Amino acid sequence: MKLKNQYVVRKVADKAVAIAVEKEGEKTDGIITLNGTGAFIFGLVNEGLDRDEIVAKFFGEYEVTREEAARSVDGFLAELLASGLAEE
Amino acid sequence: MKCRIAQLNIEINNRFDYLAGSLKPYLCDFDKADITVSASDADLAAERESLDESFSDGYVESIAVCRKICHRLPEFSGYMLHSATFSLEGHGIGFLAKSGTGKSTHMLLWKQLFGDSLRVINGDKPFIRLEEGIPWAYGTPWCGKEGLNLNDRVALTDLCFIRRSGENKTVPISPEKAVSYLLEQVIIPEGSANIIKVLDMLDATVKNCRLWEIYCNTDISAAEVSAGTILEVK
Repeated sequence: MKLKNQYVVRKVADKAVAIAVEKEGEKTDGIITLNGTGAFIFGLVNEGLDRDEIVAKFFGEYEVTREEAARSVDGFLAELLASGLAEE
Repeated sequence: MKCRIAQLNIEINNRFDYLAGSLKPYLCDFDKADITVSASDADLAAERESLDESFSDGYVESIAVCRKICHRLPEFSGYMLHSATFSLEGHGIGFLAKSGTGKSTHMLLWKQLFGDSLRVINGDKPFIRLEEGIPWAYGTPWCGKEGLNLNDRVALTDLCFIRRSGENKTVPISPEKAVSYLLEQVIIPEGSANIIKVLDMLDATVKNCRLWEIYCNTDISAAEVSAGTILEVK
C-alpha cells in the first residue's frame, strides 16, 4: 500500500500536520491533521515502509502487544484506503 | 513598480492600473529587488476560475500578484495570514475566519469602541514575518473591500477565530485546536522546503500568541464582550 501523494509531516504546536506536496503537473492542497499514533503510522507509510515493517516499528514504539500493534496499524491503514488517500 | 512591503523590496511588473493606486503608500526606490513578480495570462486565467466574472482585469491581476508573492515569502521567513489585524493598547490582534463570516465587521465594531487608538494594520491579508521568533504582522496593499491598511507593523499577541453566533462569548482555545483553524487561513506554498518553513512559522506564531474563539453577533455588545475578555485577561 502506498499514499497517492508524497507528504510533508511536521509537528505544529504538538499536533502532527501532513501536507501533500504538489505532484508533477498536479496541484493539491491536501492538509491532514493527525493524532499521536496516527501521525506515527502515517509518517512510516509516507516513508514507504510496508505493513509488517510498520507493525514492527509500532510494537517497538508503544507499550502494546504485537496483536494490538497489528490491530492499530491495520485499522489505520484501512482508514487511509477508505478515505482515498492511499492505494494498494 | 518598485515598492517596499513587509521590509522586502518587491518589484511588480503590472499590466493594469488597478495596482498603482493601492501600492502608493508602499512605493519605494531600490537597486536590488528581493522579489520580482508579474502575472502571466495563465496566472490571470487560473485566478479567474475562483472569482466572480464582474471583477476587472486589474483586480484579478492584483490578486494573482499577491498570490505569487505569498509563494515566495517563506524564503524570507514570512507567510500571509488571511486575517483582519490591528494594534491596540500594546496588543497585536488578528481576527481570522473564512471570507464572509464577519472578521472585518467585528473589527469595525471594536473600532467604534476604541476609535483612533485602534490602528488597522491590514483588513484582509497582512504578511507575517518571524524576527527572532516573534511574529510581526505587516500592512500590505491587499486588504479587503474596506481598503484598510497601513504601511506599518505590529507584533502579534492574540489570534481570534470568529464564529457567528446568537450568543456573545469569548473563550480561550488550545494550540492544538487552533492549528487546524490556522491552516485554513494561510496559502500553502509549493515544494517541501517552503511547506516546512511555513509550518515551522505557524508553530512559532501559535506559541507566541494567545488563542481565542469569539462567538459573536453583529451588535456593538459583541465587541464589548470580546474586547472585555481579551484586553482584561493578562
